[in-house]
Amino acid sequence: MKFLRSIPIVIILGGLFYALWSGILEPSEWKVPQSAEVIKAKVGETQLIKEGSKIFKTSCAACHSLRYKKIYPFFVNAPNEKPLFKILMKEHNGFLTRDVYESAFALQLKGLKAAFGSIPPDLSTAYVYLGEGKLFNIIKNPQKVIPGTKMPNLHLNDRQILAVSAFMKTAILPTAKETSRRHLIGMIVIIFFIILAILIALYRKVVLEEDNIEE
Amino acid sequence: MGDKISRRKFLGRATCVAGGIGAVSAVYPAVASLAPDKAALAQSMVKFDISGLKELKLATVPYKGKPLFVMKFPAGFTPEKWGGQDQENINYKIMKPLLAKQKNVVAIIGVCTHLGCIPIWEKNGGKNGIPVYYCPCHGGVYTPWGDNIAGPPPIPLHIPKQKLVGNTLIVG
Amino acid sequence: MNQSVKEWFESRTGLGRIFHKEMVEYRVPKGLTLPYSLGMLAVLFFVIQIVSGIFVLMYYKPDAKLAFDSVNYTIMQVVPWGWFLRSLHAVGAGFFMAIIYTHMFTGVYYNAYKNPRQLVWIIGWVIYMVMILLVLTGYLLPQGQLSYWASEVVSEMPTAIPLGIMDKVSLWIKGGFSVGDITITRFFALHVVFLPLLLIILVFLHMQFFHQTGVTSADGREVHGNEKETVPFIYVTLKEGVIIAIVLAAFSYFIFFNPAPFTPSANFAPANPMKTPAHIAPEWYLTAFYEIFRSIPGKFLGFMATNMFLIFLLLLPILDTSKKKSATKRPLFYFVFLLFLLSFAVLSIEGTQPDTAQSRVIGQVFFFINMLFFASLPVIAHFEKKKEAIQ
Ligand code: HEM
Ligand code: FES
Repeated sequence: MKFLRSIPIVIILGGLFYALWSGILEPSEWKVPQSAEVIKAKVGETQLIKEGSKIFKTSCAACHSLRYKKIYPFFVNAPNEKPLFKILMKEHNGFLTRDVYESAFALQLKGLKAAFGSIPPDLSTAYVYLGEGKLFNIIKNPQKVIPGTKMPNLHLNDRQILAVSAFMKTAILPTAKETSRRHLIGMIVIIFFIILAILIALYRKVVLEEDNIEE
Repeated sequence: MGDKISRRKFLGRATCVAGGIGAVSAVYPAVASLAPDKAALAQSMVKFDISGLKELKLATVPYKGKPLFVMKFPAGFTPEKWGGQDQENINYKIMKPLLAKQKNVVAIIGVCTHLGCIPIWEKNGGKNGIPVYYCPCHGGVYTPWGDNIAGPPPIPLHIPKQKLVGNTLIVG
Repeated sequence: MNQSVKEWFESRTGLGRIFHKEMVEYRVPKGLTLPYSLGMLAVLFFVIQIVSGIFVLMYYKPDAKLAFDSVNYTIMQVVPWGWFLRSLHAVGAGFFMAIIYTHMFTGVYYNAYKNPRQLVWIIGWVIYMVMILLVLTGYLLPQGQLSYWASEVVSEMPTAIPLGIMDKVSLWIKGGFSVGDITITRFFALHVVFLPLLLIILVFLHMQFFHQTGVTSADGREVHGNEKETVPFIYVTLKEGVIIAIVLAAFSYFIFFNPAPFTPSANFAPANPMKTPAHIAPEWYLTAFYEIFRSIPGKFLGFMATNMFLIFLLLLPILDTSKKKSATKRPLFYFVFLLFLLSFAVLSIEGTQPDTAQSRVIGQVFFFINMLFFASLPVIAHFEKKKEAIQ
């Protein structure tokens, strides 16, 4: 009876937390096309990251920074800016915090704003907040995803887009190696807690039996 | 019965040990997070171009967040004149071969070995106008090689690992 | 030797005495079910929040321009094990809230709010309120888009009350016309010092109060003080230990394999005061209120409806006039309790979804069901009295 009574409760609460924490409530509307997924599997992540790093520096960095990877827009290398940029990079170990970056290059950023309507954002975290699918489609055809945007179509092919995306992922998410390291540690920790639970349960059984306690 | 009691003890201990292992391992990430990160460790090497150095003129470079004193000595510069405490030749002995290898240039860490102040280079500040490093905090005095000759400092200034490649002094 | 060391210590500290009083002399009813461990779990997660909080605090920068990078770059990528500490804190907050909700619902289920435990219930309710403030203030700190707009929306809440002065209250909360540097440092101070301290005091009172009255037994009889029907608490800690280890295993899964549900992707976009994200919803622990708020037409009405749930929760000891305790002994109550739980779950899930006409209808229906639960309590009490009179 006690068992039966708890079933609906477990179903409701279990269902609630499953729905909330399994990610099923956030289906993404943009997808990487199947043909591109095939390329991704064939070329491999490491190779893509390598190619993507070059493409980002030559194409995207015309306007965007990727500060978490210490990449800044082309303007920092203009003759007038370069000396300041070099000093700042040296002083801040390559990572310019937003206040420093935006103050030092306020004029250039304002210029970008005048040209594009808004400052092309820093892309360090874009891979996560856009999601792989949306990012892919934006690079492929900016107008389709963000109507009215001034971001140009760079005419990259699918492989190049995948490469840029794979590279941008490394700016915010751990590398494959680091991820598997975390998974390994996680495995060990979970197994540890399960063993601990079993040990306590066994100990409890003996103690209750011996002390003649009925809980 | 005796069998049972030992089982209880055994399980109790096993649980405690497992819990203890868990607690100790939980401390690890916390302690590890306090260690210097990669960027901080990267500072532990510094490169310095020595071509612009003038003799007996001090150049100061940040190294591990502290000043590094780089100095070019005139050829044949010797310690004879300083006098003072016995240890005065410790650094000099280490430095002599270095000076020969490094075009008479050497780097020492500019942190007083007494309590960590930054000594001041006084080219004519010592007795009889000889050059010394003088520490303002408690009056420590060092030779230009960093040997302590007066005041409270217990040992000479530290000499970091260094080598000269072309005209670049690599320290660390 | 060992003995005399113990005595030396005990005579000077009296700590052993306290231990004995709280673990052995303090007795709990036999037959406590698994959900009774939730209180202990909540305390554990409070400790996890404090410890992990102190460590992320070492690198966090409360500044409109620096906060975002200090979390997403410095903590997540530069500090060794920083990702772990942050995941502990972010996933821990989600688990903590889940535990508190379930703990609260357990209290409703066993009617733990009734005489003589009204004060235990009220303090628990205040703890819940303070926790909501804690997560809200904490949520602003990473300075992502969701952080910013959540704080903006919450501090605009008072303007739902149609009084002229409420606009000023909203400005006063933010310390400006929008969420800025001042708001961040202010929320930061509340989040790391004031609210945790307050919570410690409240938790202490909560525990003191239920140690005084004893906890309800699962079958609803009052057995506090009855030697035969109770066991020393220390035996029960073993059962709780098992459950804690299992919950920590699940917790570890999210930390090491899948922290994403607790660090929403939209919050990886830096705060932008000029642009609200297209789809914005609070974290799950507030989506039930959010759903009520947006589906009840009229700003003021929606605001009142949202608060009704909270106020009725507080008033449970008064609303439920029946002397009988525990859903296990009250079939009618058990039934409406299921409706209550269901309405909360549906509202919470619906609140994460985009605002559509359909979602508004669902919101209204389940808000109604939710209110039905509270309204039915006096009626059920009436029937139960009648039935008793007949028997
Ligand atoms: C009941 C206790 C607490 C709860 C429920 C709580 C909840 C939260 C939440 C939801 C966040 C945003 C998480 C994220 O997205 O990263 C947060 C951030 C933060 N909390 Fe707490 N917190 C608690 C206690 C504390 C304490 C005691 C401290 C410091 C002593 C602290 C320091 C911080 C800091 C510095 C942040 C910003 C860093 C970050 O976002 O990772 N918290 N907290
Ligand atoms: S610190 Fe230099 S003499 Fe004391």
